[in-house]
Amino acid sequence: MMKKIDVKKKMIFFGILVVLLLLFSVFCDYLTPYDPNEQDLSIAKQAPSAEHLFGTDRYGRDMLSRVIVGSKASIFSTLLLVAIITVIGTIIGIICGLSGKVVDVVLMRIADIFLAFPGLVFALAIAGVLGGGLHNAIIALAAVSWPKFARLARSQTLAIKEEPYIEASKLAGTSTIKMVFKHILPNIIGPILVTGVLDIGTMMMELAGLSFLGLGAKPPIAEWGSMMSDNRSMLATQPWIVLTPGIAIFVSVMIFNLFGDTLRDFADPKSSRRK
Amino acid sequence: MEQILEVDKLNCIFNKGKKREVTALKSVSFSLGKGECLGIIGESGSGKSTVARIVTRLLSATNGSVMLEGDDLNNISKKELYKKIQMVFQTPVESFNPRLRIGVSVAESLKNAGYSTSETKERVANLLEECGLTSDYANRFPHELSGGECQRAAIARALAISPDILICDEATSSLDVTVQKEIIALLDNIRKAKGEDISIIFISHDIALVQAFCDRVIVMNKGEIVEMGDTDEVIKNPKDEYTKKLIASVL
Ligand SMILES: Nc1ncnc2c1ncn2[C@@H]1O[C@H](COP(=O)(O)OP(=O)(O)OP(=O)(O)O)[C@@H](O)[C@H]1O
Ligand SMILES: [Mg+2]
Repeated sequence: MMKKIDVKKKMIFFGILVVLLLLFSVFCDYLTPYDPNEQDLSIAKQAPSAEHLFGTDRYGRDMLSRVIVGSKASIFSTLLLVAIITVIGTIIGIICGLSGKVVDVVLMRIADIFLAFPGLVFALAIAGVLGGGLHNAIIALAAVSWPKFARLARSQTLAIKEEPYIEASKLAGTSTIKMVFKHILPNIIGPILVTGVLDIGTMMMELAGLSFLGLGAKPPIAEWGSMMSDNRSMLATQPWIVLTPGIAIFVSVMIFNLFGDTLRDFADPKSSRRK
Repeated sequence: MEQILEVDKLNCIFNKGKKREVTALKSVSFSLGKGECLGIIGESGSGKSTVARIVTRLLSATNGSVMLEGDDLNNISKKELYKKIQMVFQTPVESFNPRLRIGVSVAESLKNAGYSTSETKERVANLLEECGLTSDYANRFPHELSGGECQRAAIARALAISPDILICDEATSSLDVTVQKEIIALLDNIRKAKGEDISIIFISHDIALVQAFCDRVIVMNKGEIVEMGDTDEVIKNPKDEYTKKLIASVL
């Protein structure tokens, strides 16, 4: 009992942090001390100071403002990506779990094919074919990431589809579609959501990774991964230009992961680690 | 007596991968008369629930036929079928969605049949009261009910759209003796109130209950019907060896 309350408190704490982070990225345009795109070569590559807390980049743009504005592209594209793979994966998984052998086998083999590719490599290939850009990076990562959710939704569906309450609702004359929304989804969505939240961190890193490789956000869009990439040659000489977006990624990923962890512990008290 | 349900030579074989076959039913035939109460007894694994699941089309038989009022079961749409036939499941608590209030589960068939919200609400309240609960049980969740209360709610749900046939699969086996008696009394009242309008298949492994409640009885062993006849007759003069053993072990 003690533990449950403890987990709940932690979850609320990290939940608030997540909400703050989201609010921050929604209102980021109003939070910047300087115009993030204004170039002033006379102050280029300045080290952090009271005036420019994170220093300036090679065009004299204020790094703090750029990192703040970068949260929009980084966080929203990540959330969009996670939402896409969760929804697509869940729909396909439920279809597999409910339908007969043929559909199930075909869809699951397709999922296996996507799973068999190393995620980033496949994403690289897709981004290479479709061209760079944040949209294509999201499509590429979505293509390799949905099978995990499909498998989860499928196994959850299989686990409950012969429960007496599902059969009872069949006897009540409930159609399959209604069955999914009324009985199946509410009983399998918990673990899927937890996995989704835990995936936000990973996906943020992968998106940043693609951007870092030049296949994600294109300048002048401020995005953390591409900010690091564009300036990576200056890591030795002006490290703040590379490190400040990196720290932003690190902090955001941490917040989402910690929230996901406590959410999982809350949803399933058995899995909570001993303190 | 007019027959409402005729089951003819049902076979059911479960295929569990290579060479692992379970024959759950072997040439099972019986019929159910209008207004009759038919008991099915047999030890665990004898195929009682399998019969119930085939008759409700939750499972398809390997071969054999089931006729409902003269129509083949497979030619009746499930929607129509489930207005005529309902079941109380072997596990009362698990037969309710843990995330839905009892009232919502009881109302499901009414909603699907197009009852309005206010009609549904009133009917659910009446049903719960008929089954010995109060109408505010509608707002509770399944885990907030005892086993016996869940069983009553399950009976209320099965009766919601006034089916012609009610199948009770071990409706009392998970309950203690006094609650068992109450449930049987409840079923008895339902029979008295509905008369010819409800036929019951009462599955149980408790011979005493079947004796108290059923007109006729079927004895099943390893997927086969070994004896069938008037309840008192079968229990007083069992002809089959297995039936004799079964009765001797209880009385
Ligand atoms: N889905 C299934 N897959 C494989 N075998 C099954 C399946 N369902 C039932 N069986 C087998 O069929 C046989 C009959 O099972 P059934 O559930 O009808 O027994 P029962 O008479 O209802 O038993 P109980 O009194 O324990 O409820 C058993 O041997 C069981 O193992
Ligand atoms: Mg059974």
